Amino acid sequence: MRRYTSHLVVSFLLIVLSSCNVLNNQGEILVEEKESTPVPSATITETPQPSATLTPTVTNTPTVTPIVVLDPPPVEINFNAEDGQLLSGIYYPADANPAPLVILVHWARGDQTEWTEIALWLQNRSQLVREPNYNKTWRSSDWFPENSLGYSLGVFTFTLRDCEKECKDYLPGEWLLDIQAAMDTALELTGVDKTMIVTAGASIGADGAVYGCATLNRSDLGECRGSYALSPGSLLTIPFEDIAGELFQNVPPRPIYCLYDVRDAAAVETCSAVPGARQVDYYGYIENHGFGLIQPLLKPDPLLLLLELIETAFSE
Amino acid sequence: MIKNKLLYGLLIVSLILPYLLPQPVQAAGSSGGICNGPDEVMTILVVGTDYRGPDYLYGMGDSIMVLRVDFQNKEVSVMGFPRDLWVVIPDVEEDNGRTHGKLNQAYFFGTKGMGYYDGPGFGAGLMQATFMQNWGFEIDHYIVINMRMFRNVIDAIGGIAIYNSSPVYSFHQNSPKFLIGGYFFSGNEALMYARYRDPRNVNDRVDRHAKILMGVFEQIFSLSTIPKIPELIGLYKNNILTDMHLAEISQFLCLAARVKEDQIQFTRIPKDELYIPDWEGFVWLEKEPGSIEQHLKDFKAGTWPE
Repeated sequence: MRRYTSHLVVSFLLIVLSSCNVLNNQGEILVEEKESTPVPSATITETPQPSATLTPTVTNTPTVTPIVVLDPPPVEINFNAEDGQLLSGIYYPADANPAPLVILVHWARGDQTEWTEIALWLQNRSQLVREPNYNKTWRSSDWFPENSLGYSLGVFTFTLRDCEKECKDYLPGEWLLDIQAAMDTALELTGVDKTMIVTAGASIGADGAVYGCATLNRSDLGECRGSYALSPGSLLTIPFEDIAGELFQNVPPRPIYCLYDVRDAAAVETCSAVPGARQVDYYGYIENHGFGLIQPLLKPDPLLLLLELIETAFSE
Repeated sequence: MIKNKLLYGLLIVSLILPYLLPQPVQAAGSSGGICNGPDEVMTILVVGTDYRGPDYLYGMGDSIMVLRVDFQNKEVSVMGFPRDLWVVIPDVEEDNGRTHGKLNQAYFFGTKGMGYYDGPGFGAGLMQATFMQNWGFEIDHYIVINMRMFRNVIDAIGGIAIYNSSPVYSFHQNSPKFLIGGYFFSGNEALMYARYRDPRNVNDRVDRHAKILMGVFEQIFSLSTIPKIPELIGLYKNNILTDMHLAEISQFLCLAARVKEDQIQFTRIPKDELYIPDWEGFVWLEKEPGSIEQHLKDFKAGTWPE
């Protein structure tokens, strides 16, 4: 009897909702379009959001939100994982708001600074590193291809726990928490368009990037449009193909780029298990893994592929 | 008015939204266990073969160990088996004409090169079937490594440190090959240490294999090797035989990294429970039939060793 009553109540409310035009015939929520980048999710979930992104109808904030464009220099961001672990990140703001964001996840042989040159190149605000760093395969930003996107991206990097300079412990379970926290933090960064996010990573970071993208899309807080993986290997205790499959089940399906050296058996096996991904194999002078794939001589240029993924992801 | 309708609508939608949205795919293997490991205890057969070739076409199972991995209680334990244990070998009588052999031959008869066994996993598969046939012990996964890869892996991780607690003798030689003391072995030295054999001492070799495994664990989780773990998996995944998914390897390494070295339990069949019968060649039999089966049951249950 109670069940029938609840069914009746739900049916009645659905009718009311339909008559109010709140739901369309696919059951999707209809919200009056206020601006080019709608952000209705905060209203639905009642999750606390930065005031800069709340819609005026709910919060009674001024109808015109002041746009704050941060200066080009990177901003240090500290945040906590779910278990309380303090993590550090760096935000490279774009030159306009709201801007798409690329979240970069590092490998076990280094920390977030592995991404510095690439982050500045994606940020595209004349901050390129010219000083050669001989610990990196790309030495400096000088040989990087021209950033053909024609606009500036926000970029967010962070260091997984116990990985300052390089990982000192093997903590894949905890790193998953760190990645989730980084995704949550990224959504709150000033000027970020929450619906225009792409992730990229190398090695453990490749698994982490795809995981972060998929978990973000499980919520309605933001939208991850695609992921770029250099040598993934199901290294974070979860099968890469399952997480990638989740992104392919999104509507629309999210693109994944999977890059690997043909001698890297784990990466070959992992990328091969995801036939829906764009797979790019390399055979260089030596076996390359993760960031080792970013080299001037490798064709197709992995950095151009990163731009291609970003362009594809954001155009859908 | 429109605002009120919208708020009511959103309230109701928040109630029914979970039924409208597609559910995320649950990652395989994820559970309440640590490191996303399975709820149940995982057992892994680890076999070191004496095959010198670059592949796994032939070879005897020279080193035989079973790992018990408990993700719920954060435990790893290892049980070593003597290669000369006399066992029933299933599934090969039709082609091979044999029903019994040494435990290491169970691997050999199953190899692809021998062609006697058509079940999954070749030598490791037949050895798993042998454990089941003799002791009713089901093993979930296997890892097989040949001598060449054994050397390469130990060299790749930078060598291993072990403490040798008793002199090691070789077959028919009176002077010890290794004296009591600490050693840091290259891949080749570790192989020598693993392979010296005195058939009259059934457990000495099993103990040395346990020490080597321990040394490998220690070295893998040393500061210098941790950042290389992903690359090492990539380099060697195709050069060892295993039916473990990469995610399962990652789960295992994740757990192993959390278990302190002195918490890893090593065990073997007690020497006084075995004897050498008056047969040609060295083989070992259990004195009390059923004792090994009971040890394995207790091992799986986590009650032995205590």
